[in-house]
Amino acid sequence: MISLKKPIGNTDEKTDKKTFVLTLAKKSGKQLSAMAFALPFLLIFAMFFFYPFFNGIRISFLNRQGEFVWFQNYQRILSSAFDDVFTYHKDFLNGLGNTLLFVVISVPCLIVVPLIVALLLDIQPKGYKVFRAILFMPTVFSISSVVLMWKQILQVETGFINSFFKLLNWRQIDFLGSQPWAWISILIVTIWWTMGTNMVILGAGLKNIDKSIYEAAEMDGASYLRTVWSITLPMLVGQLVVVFVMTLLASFNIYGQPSLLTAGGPNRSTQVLLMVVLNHLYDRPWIASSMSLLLGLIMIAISLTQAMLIKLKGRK
Amino acid sequence: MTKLKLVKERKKIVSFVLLLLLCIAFTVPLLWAFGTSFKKNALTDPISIFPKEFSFKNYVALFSNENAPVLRWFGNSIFVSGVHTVLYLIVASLAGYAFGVLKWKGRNLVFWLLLSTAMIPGIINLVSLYQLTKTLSINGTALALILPGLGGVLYMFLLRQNFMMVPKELIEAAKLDGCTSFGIFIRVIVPLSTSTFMVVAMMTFINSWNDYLWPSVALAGADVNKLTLPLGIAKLLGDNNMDNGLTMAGAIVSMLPTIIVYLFLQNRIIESVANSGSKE
Repeated sequence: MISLKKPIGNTDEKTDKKTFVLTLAKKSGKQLSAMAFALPFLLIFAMFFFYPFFNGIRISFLNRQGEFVWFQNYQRILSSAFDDVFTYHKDFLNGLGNTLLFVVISVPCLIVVPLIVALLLDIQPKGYKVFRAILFMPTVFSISSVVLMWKQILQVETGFINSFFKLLNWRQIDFLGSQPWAWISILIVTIWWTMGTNMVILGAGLKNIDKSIYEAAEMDGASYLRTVWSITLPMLVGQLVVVFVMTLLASFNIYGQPSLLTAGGPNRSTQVLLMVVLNHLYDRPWIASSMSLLLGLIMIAISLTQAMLIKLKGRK
Repeated sequence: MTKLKLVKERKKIVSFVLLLLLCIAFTVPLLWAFGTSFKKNALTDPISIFPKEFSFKNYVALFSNENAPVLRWFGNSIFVSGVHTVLYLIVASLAGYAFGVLKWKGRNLVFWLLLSTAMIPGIINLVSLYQLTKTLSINGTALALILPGLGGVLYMFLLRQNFMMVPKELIEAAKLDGCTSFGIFIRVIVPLSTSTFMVVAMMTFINSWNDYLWPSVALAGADVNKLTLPLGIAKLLGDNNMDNGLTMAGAIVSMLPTIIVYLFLQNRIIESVANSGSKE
């Protein structure tokens, strides 16, 4: 393009132009061939992520007839004014409430338990690598096999635990069909299944802390717990934040455990938001899409907050 | 000094005992499930971990159950996870190479765009992704499970980061030897990144093998023969007519492959998960 501006006069400039066009062709060829490496990935990404993302937003603005109705679906989900016509609002509130409840009870457990285990492992007693391997193992199982096993353990009458109770002449507990046991069961299964990830991440953070700091503190007569509290934890803040946000997002995504273990019961008390979304997915995608976008917005807000905090920390 | 040593010893003993107890608590469910799967009559013998009467009847019943073609599910899972992993390694590593090593106009812009989507949770796309598979009429098929995940950015970033650490001199030398971009990728970049490829392959395979939410959406209403192992197992779960022994045999069969892979690769798996937390 630039070369065209120059008047073409003598042969010198002609060859100039020729080489320029050649290098341009070479350059753009290079550009194209370089881009070609990313092309398969970008095409799939555009097709199965980018497009569905915007189409999902579009769907959430449509009604049953496919007409564009702006925020009507969101209104019906968020406002109680339509309660006598639709159950969307009640379902959404119930699901969101249950999801939030799970987040509130699970996140602290899923950080404190792995933290304690990671601290114990960091002392490096005999065989600690074997212990770590055993405690991490459940994370590689699929949720359905985990629940299949736990359901039989928690079953009334024929379950492992209740059979013990029977033997001891204790009262049977309906772990999956009564509250608060249903939540406790879901929590225990979740800890058993997912604890390993946070344990290993926190363990890596602990490993990076210089051990001589502990020794100095212990020489000064500080107790172990005291050392952990005032030396280890402050040095582990980075990892703790990462683990906290990862766990928070994972807990908002809760679906498999209640869906398979309690089927949302008893009385829909463990029916989480993703279960509600899935109930609407096939027959009322516009409602399902609006609900999942609302849940997604909460999660995006969490990620953005984390990103902002890290930036602030970096600026200091 | 000796007192300090004593304290250290005591700390080690206490942590050993606590960890041992915890590990016992963690493995009892698995051992019970394993034992129960070999019980001749699980209902009259619910507590013991070692079966009173040993038998293979649960496994025989499981594998001959026509409503639960476990071997078929197993094969489907191997196929889906295997093909997905191989394709992802190819697609993502080529992209990682393009974003990490090659230079082209708009590279950083596109990369920044991809990076910023990492914040968007997958569940937002659940509904419209299902609609898309319906439009493409691939819902209910293996393609619906294999394709969408190929655009996953996470491990593409990991590969890119690793490729960027390959010494520039090696790449320049290969260029002088007349290597094309693709030649450099195959002869220089890939051989130097085998361990990252291993990690990505392993994590992609395990994640795909265990995936539950998306397959349960994409394969809704599909023929029982088309299910993956986790979905099939979930089906077993819904069937209340099955006795303890049979369902535990199902649980063991679905866990066993991952346990075996885990036993061989546990150090690498643990290491790669540990590193995922260092993205401060």
